[in-house]
Amino acid sequence: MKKAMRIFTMLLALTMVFTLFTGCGSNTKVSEPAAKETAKKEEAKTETPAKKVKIKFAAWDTTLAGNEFKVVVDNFNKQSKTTEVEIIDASGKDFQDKLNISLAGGDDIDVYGIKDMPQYSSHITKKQVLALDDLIKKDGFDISPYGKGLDVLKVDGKTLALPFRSDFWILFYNKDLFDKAKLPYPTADMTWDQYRELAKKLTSGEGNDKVWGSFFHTWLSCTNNLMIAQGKNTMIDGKYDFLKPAYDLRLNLEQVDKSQMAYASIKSTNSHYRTMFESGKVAMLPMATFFIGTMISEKKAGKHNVNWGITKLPHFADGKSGDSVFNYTPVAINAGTKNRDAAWEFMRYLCGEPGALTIAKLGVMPAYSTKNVLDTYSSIEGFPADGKPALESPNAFIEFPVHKNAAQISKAIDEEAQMILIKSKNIDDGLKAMETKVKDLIGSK
Amino acid sequence: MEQIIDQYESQKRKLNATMRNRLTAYAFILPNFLGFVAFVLVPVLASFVLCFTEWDTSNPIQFKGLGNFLQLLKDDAFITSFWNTVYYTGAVVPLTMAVSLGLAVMLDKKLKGAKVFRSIFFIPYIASLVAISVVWNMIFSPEAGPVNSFLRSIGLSEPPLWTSSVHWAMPVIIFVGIWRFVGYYMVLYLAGLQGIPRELYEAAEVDGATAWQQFRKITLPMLTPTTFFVVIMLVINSFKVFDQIMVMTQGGPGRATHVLVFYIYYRAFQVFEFGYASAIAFVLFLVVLTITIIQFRMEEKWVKYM
Amino acid sequence: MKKSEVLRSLKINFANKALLYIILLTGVYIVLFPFAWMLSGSIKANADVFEYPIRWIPKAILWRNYIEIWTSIKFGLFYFNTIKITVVIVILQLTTSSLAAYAFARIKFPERNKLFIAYIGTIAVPYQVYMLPQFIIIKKLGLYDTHTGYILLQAFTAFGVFLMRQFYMSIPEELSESARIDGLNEFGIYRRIILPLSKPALASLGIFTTVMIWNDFLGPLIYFTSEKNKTIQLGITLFMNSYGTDFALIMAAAVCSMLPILIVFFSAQKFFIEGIATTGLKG
Repeated sequence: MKKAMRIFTMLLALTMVFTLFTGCGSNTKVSEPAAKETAKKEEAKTETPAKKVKIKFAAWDTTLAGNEFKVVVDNFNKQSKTTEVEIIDASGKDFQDKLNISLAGGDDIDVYGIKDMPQYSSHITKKQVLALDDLIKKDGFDISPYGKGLDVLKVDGKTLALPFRSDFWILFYNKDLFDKAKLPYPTADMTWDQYRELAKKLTSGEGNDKVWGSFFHTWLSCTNNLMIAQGKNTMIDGKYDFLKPAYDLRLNLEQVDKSQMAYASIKSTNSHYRTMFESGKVAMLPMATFFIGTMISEKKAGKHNVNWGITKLPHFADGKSGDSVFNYTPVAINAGTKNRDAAWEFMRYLCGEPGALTIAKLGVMPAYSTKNVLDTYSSIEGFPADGKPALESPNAFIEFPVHKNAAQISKAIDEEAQMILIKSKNIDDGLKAMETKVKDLIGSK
Repeated sequence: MEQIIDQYESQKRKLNATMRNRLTAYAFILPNFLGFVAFVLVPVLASFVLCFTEWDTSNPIQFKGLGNFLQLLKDDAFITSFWNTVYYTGAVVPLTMAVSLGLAVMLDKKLKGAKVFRSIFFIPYIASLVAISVVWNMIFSPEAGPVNSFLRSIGLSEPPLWTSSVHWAMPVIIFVGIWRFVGYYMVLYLAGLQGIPRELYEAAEVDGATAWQQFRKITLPMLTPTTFFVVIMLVINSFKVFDQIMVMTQGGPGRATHVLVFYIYYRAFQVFEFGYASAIAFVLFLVVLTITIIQFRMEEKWVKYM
Repeated sequence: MKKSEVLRSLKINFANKALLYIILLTGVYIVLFPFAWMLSGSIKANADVFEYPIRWIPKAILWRNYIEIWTSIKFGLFYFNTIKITVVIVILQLTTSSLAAYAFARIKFPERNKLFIAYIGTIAVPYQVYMLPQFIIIKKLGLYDTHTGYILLQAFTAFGVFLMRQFYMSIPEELSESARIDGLNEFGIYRRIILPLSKPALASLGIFTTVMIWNDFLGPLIYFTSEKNKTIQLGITLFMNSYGTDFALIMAAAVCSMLPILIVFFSAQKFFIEGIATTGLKG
């Protein structure tokens, strides 16, 4: 009996210690979600204008200074009388993991950003996106400024997301390096052969003074995109021999001309395109327009002093000037949202003209492109004076159309692309292997 | 008659004793057990149920029977991952054991600076993997890294490409794996060494046993409970290797370092096939469980408890 | 003659010692080389972190990296959160595991082996698989984005029970027997006899738990959303974003996050290195 008592008291003491500890820093927090829940319900019922509906918006890198999501959300919260947006943040690298788990676990996120097209496809398969057509119709929201960007996001005629940012690939170059080599700046109508010649001439130095003529980043899409830009094929066709010229070019740059850092070296030394370009070690960099904003803001912040320019992406002999590839950043409303109207109110602000004007001022290219928005974009301080033509009338194509198995297809392609670039397989074998690997995935559309 | 009563009484007493033991045992286990059941066991069991289903977290769960397992047999990526995991485990377990035991024995002695040495060998285990994997990647960088510079300087004209080579990526991962965890197992061995009575060594010394004989005849046998634990943890942790691959090679190049948990993670959170991911995990679990059970069976043969 | 023998044994001794130190110093070199690189990287400009051949002492030493990590993000808050979470979990882990392990090691009861296998079994299941069911439970309990939720998840692991059990098994049964004869009950034996003997095991479990929680990334990533709850490891990744990664700051932050554990380890050593007083009772 005595023993039992002792054990009992001990357990009691343990429980007390336990509650004490877990309670000490967080008792306020425990009750918080419950309180929020009830508050939200009340608001939904009565719609009292005094209390704003709180919605959650998941986005990445919002803690960085001048992050475009953050700036738009702040502006929105200032002007909206009915809705308040709370940001759920994660770093760009981990955002998708966190979002996926939250959505799968039934978290009450109302609106969320999507990092790339394969992810967008997977949200659709998982029925995590709300069809927006009724909302668009009800409001008479003008969707024409999105151009064909919106069609890309449509599935079976339904609009499941709005594009927030829209970027396409252009060529960045370092003017000082061209001047030093006494070479003319790259033109808007240049073939990849000419690019190769230029790159060879621009490569110089050794060790820490090495300057590379060309820099393709480690993203495997960098190479594939050169062919996608011609608009004849996409990555879900299941046939990949059309990629051969791009891999030929890449390997020639690396091995024959030695004007491009080898893929393996970039990987193992974590050489990032941004650091390489900003430190003046790269003369020409094919990259998407989102890099414009970075270059401008970092120059303002004194982090680099590169005299840079932009022009249209080079093309192959059978292509034409202006060929390029689109990247979208779609934003969707969670199918399970309890605050549909508030979510839509925020969404049309974020992806519509107010949001577009805000981010254009930050040097980020909005998908909602009216003349007003474009003028704002190209007239911001720090934008290269002769750069405007580079952005005009691109003939751009989408790399990854919506496909049920997009994530798996893209992984299979990446694996083989890697084998080609580390020279473990020759180009033909690698492209063949891609086809074999995706065969079953493509079929089950 | 009396005998029967006696027997009955003694049985009752035995039962009572069992019951009492049981109650006491449960009282001890309970605080941990409640939390364990709610937050570990139930989720684990739930994931086992998922093995036999198809579930993408949004559409309704569909029962699939053994379908997932049949699919596994034909899945190249799974088979590659399985053998890669076996490769990693096969190399890491013996090497880590040998090195960590060696360090523990060397540093158990009253050696000048032992405390500092122990702390130094523990450092890799506490380091932030993100920061340190960046450095390792640079050290093994094919063109400029110090390893290859050294190899070239001793006349090797074409040193391996390490993490960019299908053949050498896994050895690099193995090396870094050992490097990270040696300190951890060293601590376990050090704790184990403290339990060995010093008298045994003193007696052996009187008998004129050499250091090597003492190690073989006293240290090794007396350490078997620790070794038992170390082997099981090493096997389990090696089969579950994930984070250093995630940050160093992402399973590449190609599929050279594509291991089971990496594949599970990918299937679960990139493709959202929770059923299939659970099935892979189940296979991993079975393999580890078999090894563990064999170990427990053999425990009596080679582990000497006091 | 005697003199020469002593001299010889001294020589052997000296040779052994020298060999020992050579081995240890080689090990130290392999272990510390990457850290030296990291330390040197932490006081460089980000663009210089990857320069090769490495300049161990940079042209311009940027001590301000160490200031920047505390000012550009809420590193202090993250630090405090991490310490709080770690301390609570370590205490819970040590008390509950050492109790449960006692039952598994020293009390004979019918379901002992089955229960124990259930414990061990869960160690073999990769976290990535039961992450989602676990998430749903925490969500349902309303503990998402709270420290309590995360603490509950991490405090009751099978690993702790396993480690403590293995250690208890090596303590001679005679000790318990004589205590029983003296009239101590099981809890008394645990408290008075076994626990004081388990300092090395408790110390190692404590240090392992500390490191595990301190460096855990996936758990906090999933469970902590508000900035006020975030931990150091989440803080470090804030220097890594889609526009590039500031490796210099990451390294500085990594150095700062390692220091406390290194100090804890250094000072906790006496617990798992000190010989235990069981010797007289054995054999």
